[in-house]
Amino acid sequence: MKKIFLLFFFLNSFAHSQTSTLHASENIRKFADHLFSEKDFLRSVSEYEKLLRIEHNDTLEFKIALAYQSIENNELALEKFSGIKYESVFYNESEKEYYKTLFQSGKYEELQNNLSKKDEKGFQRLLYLSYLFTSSELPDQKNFSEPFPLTERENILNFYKQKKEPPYKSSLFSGLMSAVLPGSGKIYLGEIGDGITAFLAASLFTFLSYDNFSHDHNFRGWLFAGLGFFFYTGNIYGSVTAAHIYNAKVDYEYNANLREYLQNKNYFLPPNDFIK
Amino acid sequence: MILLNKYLLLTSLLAANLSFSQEYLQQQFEFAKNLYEKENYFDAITEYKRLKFFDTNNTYGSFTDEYIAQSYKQGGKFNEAIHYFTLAEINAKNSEDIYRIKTEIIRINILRRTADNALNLLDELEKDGRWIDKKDEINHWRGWVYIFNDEWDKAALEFSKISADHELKILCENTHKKKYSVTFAKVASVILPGTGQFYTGNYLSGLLSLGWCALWGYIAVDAFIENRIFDGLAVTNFLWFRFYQGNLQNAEKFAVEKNIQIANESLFYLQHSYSGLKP
Repeated sequence: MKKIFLLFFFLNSFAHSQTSTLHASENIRKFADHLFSEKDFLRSVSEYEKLLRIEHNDTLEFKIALAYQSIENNELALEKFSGIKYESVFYNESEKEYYKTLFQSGKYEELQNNLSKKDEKGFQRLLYLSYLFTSSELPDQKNFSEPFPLTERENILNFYKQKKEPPYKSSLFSGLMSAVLPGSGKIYLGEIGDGITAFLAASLFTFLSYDNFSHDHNFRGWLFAGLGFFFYTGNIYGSVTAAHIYNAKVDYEYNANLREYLQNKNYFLPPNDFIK
Repeated sequence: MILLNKYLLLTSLLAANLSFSQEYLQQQFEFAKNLYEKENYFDAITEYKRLKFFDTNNTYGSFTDEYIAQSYKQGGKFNEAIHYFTLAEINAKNSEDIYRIKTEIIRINILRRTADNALNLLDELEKDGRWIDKKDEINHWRGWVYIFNDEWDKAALEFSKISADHELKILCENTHKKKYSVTFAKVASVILPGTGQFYTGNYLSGLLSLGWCALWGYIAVDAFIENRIFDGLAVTNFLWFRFYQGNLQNAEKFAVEKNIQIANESLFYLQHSYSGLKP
């Protein structure tokens, strides 16, 4: 009887001193994992960091880096991923996540400098994909698509072609067209309504000016000539600007579509066990 | 007898164990509450979430969710706040608690200006027989929905249902009276260009509108008189009409801008000087 009592007393006091408090290490770990799985990443980081003050743990370091990556605090994520030591079982994964974070944060040149000497396919894919966002010279088409799975090559090559020959419109040509025939530059850019309006406005004021001069209404003649000139030059300037806007739109859509596609494919990297 | 003693001992040890863990939960609750009271909302949420995670018997269920929701609300995270208030409502134990939590959800909907949601929830509360004695409070919150929806006349009507000389009723009526009629500003400018701008106190803009419309109107009429019909039509359509339409748009824009200014002054008063119940 005494033995049972002593055993319970010992176990009870041990359990309470070690784990019953909600702030004991084991409970902090359980709670932090819960926050992490609930995607409350910032809070999970502060809980994991409490544990790291007690003892070194590479799993926690890796999860902290992943948490920062998930909330797009890329600077801290890079710092934490690069802090994982070579001896750790997470070294290889953290290396991949490090480069993925570099990619996500748009540090393509740094990524290219680091990956140019690595042969692994995953890294090669990231390297090639980074070329799609920079002005660096693209590898030839056959080599470019080679590291990617067969099912994705068509999509990748579409982006490759868009990068190599973007469907830009010439601002100089657009301006020249509008100088020769008002509105035609806008029509060349697909803004048909604007083009017709510009043509009508310029023609109308030219006619009004001519009509007034021919009836000896010189003041009105000059007034409409001024307005006509204003519309004419405005149309040339507008055509050049519209071409720049058109090209910026092409770039924006290309970048947005490529970024969305790569995020959906997890940058062609294997999925992480901690975040699915 | 020995067997009975053993059972008694085991039971008492288990009970001691349970009360011990309850004590820890109570301490955690007090700790989180302390953080909340010190307005350290980020940490308060963490500690309430910790309590919720370890409170496997759901002893603090509704309270925890409510405090988390309040902390999120204070931090301006309205969607998260509504999520936790909804959880609190599910765990609420009596109709008073349910009413309070429902009201909190309505208040957040007012703050994030989802007026339709707030009005639907208020209608549900009004129809529910459990809260027949809460009519005044329901009207109070309906008034606030209209204030945030910039419908000061409707807000005044709701507050007048509480009392004829309700402070908020008077404020809403005054705000409504001070506001400019957008329709009047436009119609005045239709009749005589620039009048709408004069009505809202933008005299220079009014004079310019009048001047431009008079100039192009004169040139157009002159062209028609001299039988230059095409000139007349072109000037009317491309110049006079352009300035006339601009005058109408200006009149509307100034009236809308002035109304925003007036509404903001009232909202500023409500935020800083009104001491009654606010969302």
